[in-house]
Amino acid sequence: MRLNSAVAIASAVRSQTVTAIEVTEQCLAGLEARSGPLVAVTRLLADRARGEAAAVDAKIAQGIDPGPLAGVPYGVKDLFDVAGLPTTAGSAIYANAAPAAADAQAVARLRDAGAVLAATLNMDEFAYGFATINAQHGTTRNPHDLDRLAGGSSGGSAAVVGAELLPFSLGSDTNGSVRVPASLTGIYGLKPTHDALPMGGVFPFAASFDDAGPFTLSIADMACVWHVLTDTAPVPPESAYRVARLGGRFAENVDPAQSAALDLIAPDAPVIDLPDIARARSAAFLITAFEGGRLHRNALASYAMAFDPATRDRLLAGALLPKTLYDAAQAFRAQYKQRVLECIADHDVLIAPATPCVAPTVADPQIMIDGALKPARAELGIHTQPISFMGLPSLAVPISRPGALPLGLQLIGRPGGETALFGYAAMLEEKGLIGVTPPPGSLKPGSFQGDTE
Amino acid sequence: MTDVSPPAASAQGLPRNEAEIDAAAAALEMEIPQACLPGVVANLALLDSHAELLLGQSDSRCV
Repeated sequence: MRLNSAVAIASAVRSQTVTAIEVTEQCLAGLEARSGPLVAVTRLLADRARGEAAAVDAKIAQGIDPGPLAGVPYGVKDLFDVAGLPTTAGSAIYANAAPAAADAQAVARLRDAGAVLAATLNMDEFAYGFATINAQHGTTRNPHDLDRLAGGSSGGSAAVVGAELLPFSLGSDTNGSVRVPASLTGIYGLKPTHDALPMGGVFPFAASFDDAGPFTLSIADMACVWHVLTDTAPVPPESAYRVARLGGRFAENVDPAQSAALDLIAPDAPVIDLPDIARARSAAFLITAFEGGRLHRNALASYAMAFDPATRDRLLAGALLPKTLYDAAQAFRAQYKQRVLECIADHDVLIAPATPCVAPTVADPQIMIDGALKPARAELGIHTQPISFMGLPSLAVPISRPGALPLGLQLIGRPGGETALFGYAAMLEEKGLIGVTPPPGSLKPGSFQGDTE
Repeated sequence: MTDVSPPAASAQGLPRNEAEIDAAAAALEMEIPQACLPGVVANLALLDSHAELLLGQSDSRCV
């Protein structure tokens, strides 16, 4: 069966049309044979996956419902604790760290719902980047064009789902690290309301903004994974939603295809210009740099040269930021969020671009911002970072455009408004305005690049 | 007489040159490897531009 729908796989397993073990073997074979060119898988967890799948099948044999994700394989970004394995956060520094004593909370919830963990996935070291250019594991490639970036920092998690090698995965999003790769690989990616998903056992980056977030190939799957992770029951969708488009800074550095999609999706929606978006992004940049730098300060002091060159100098600079600046950024944040919540109080969904452009090439990872070429690693999050700053939920959705490189939009909600985002996205998906387009052709078999158990 | 001393820390208080960077690092009991200095200087300049924006004038009201 195609591994493109978690809901369909779970339904087939629960109805005994297929066994969890059969699904798992198909998934493991696919990852081993076809994930190599993506440079997305860091560890294939074959023994664990077979054990979890066998447990699901055993429950079914006993007449016990294994849960809404019965037998559904998935992967996690390399910063989620997986019992018995070191949590590397994409860094060679932690490659031989003590194994995690237990699964991260999110992984435990998925396991309890019947999901089967099959792989850990590539990322920018310590999640500091929008590119997934990793000195230890290599650069993750985009399944729609292997010469292009998948985005980051959760690029491995996005690439395997975009390639339909796994039906869903977990990443983390501090400033856009789920939404950016979701946009560039043409899938759904959620940054939840800040702190809405369990973060126990997730390697931190910048605690003010860190959140776990799923990648999926449909809204139905996103809602299913969301309700498992939040331990909540599905709610019926509304018949209509109050929608606005974000203007101002969000209308600059936009691909024409995104503007055209916005005109199709919400032609009559009011346009809101949020205040001080550039200042908000700058404050987010400073808070992230300070918290990331201070988090790694001791390691930087002891063995800076062991860090990935792509993150080392950014972290060192962040460690040197004066605390007075950090305090000023946090003070701005507190009053800014209040101002924005007042601005958006009358709307359920705000629409904005997710990335300023399609995936840049691996050979020249630069993008055009305000008429000048800038490093993609730092700038792909220009539209996502201000939203993280406010802690709002934001769902990256793929514009439906078969035959073209993927591009996404953000559907942004009020705090706690995820189900409104899912309801509105389901309407757009049903109308064919958004949706996943599979990559052209199937990935050719290539040398598997990750580790095996 | 022309002042030829290195530029002082930026208006936002970020270290800008090698001496200031070394001093700021020493205050944190760190040492910046020589190989990292160009990258650290470039990243501090980027952070300085963000600090300038943050501490500048408010650009708009919600409309």
